[in-house]
Amino acid sequence: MNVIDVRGDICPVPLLKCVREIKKMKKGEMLTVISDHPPAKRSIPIEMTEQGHKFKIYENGPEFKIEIVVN
Amino acid sequence: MTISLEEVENFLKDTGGKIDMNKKPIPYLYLDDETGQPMLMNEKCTIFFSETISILRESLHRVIGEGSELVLRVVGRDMGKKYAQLVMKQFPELEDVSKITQIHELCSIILRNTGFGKIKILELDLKKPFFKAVIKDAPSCLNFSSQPTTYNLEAGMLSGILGRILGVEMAVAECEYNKEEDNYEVTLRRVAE
Repeated sequence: MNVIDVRGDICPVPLLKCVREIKKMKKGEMLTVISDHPPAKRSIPIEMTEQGHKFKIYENGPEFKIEIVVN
Repeated sequence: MTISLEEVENFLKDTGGKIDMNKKPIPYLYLDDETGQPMLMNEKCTIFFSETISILRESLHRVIGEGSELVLRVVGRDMGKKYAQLVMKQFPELEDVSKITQIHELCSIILRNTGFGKIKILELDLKKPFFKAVIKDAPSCLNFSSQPTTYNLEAGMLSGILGRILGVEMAVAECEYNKEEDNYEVTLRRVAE
């Protein structure tokens, strides 16, 4: 299971770490991104949509996680 | 929280001009996500960069009158281009993400980190020649009392950022203040080639 914890990071670092990780992965694999930086909740989905990957966002108080399935 | 000059110099020396994403960033000027309050070094900030812009606006208006707003658009455009270049230089991996994401990221990062406010993009389609966004929590107008509220410098900044990313000239078509919601709707249009 691929997980990156970007709590404490601010834009654009969460997005860039996510994109860097996705590049190493194969189709069908899942990446979980854990963050506490609200703008990342918008920027990561925008780029994942642009790249054609599927994702779901789970809120947990000030933190959230985004599960991305590589397409 | 205080950071010594030595720590800052060491940080800059270590990065070699680029940001190491595995290191904690130095806290800087930003807007609190919940309150919109400007913060500097994790503390509430009362004097900020945008205050300087308010003074600049007033001085310019005193000297050249109505034309000052046009000048501010041009100054803003040049600032936006320069800031976009600086962010792209610090984070070269941003070149690998889509233009749409670059626009979202750079507009948001630059406006927030210079203390100009938060942006919500309303219309962004690379096939269309225009771009529409709302800017809120903008502190630059708060202490500007002698002239009507405008946002031409910040709108100009957006045109500079988009121009840098898309490689085309963008001009401010409209910049309207919405008094009820205390925000600004900015429309940019691609300049015909």
